[in-house]
Amino acid sequence: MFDITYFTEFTNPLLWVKIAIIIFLLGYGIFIGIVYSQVKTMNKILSAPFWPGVFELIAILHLIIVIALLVYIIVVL
Amino acid sequence: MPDVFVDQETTLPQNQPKQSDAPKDAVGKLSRSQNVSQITTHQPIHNISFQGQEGDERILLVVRKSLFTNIPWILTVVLLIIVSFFLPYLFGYFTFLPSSYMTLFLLLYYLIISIYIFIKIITWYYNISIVTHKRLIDIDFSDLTYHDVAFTNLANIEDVHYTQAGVFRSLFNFGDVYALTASDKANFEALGVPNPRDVADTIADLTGKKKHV
Repeated sequence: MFDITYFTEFTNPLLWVKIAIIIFLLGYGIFIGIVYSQVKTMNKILSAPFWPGVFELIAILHLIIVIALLVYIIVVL
Repeated sequence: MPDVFVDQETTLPQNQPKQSDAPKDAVGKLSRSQNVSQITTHQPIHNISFQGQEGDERILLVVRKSLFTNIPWILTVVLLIIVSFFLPYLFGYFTFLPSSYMTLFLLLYYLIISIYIFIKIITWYYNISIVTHKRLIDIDFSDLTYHDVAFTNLANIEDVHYTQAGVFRSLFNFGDVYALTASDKANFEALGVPNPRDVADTIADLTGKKKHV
């Protein structure tokens, strides 16, 4: 049987907010990925102690936060 | 009695270094300079290396933008953080959203601020000019998808000059250093660097060219 509740679910504004946040976070994740690859490339061009490693770590930390938020939105909210 | 021919070397003033001695003199000047740590942004030069560096190539200067050039974006960040204190009032208009979403939006807002700070710092950090006793290396990292690395031999540099215009630049002693080459496109510029006079002077000494403002 055709289930009408499938369509009524799409009129829920919270669902659209959720979808918007997920799309934003996916884009944000891609952006962080680009930043990380650029930091890696620049570290090959310019080798200096301490800071380059920190930059890579910060980029990875951002990626972890984005993944954690995605999981939280999809699973918990 | 007028001289018919005078050897060019004898006409040089006593204090002007000969071109062959220039690198040695420039290194001596650097070691004597009190502002070297500012020019090199407090990093020991021997710990820094770059892709394509030759075995015997000594790095004399590592020039990065002055810390004061970061003030505009730091002020922007402060403003954005102040705005974040008023965001909960704005959320009051979106009554259909549960409080968990409000917290999430605030978290995303701070995440955007943090990545903005991060990008500004890496842009500052990787925009660098290196002066070795053989070459001038200009690493530009102006965009996340764009970076440009240019090398030129010191012998190819035709002219070195610096500009220091404006109250802010004069007050905090930073400016732009330009090294012009014979090529149309390969002009080197180090913008907003601390102690531009010392930097230009060092490059000029290495190349044997006089600097001018």
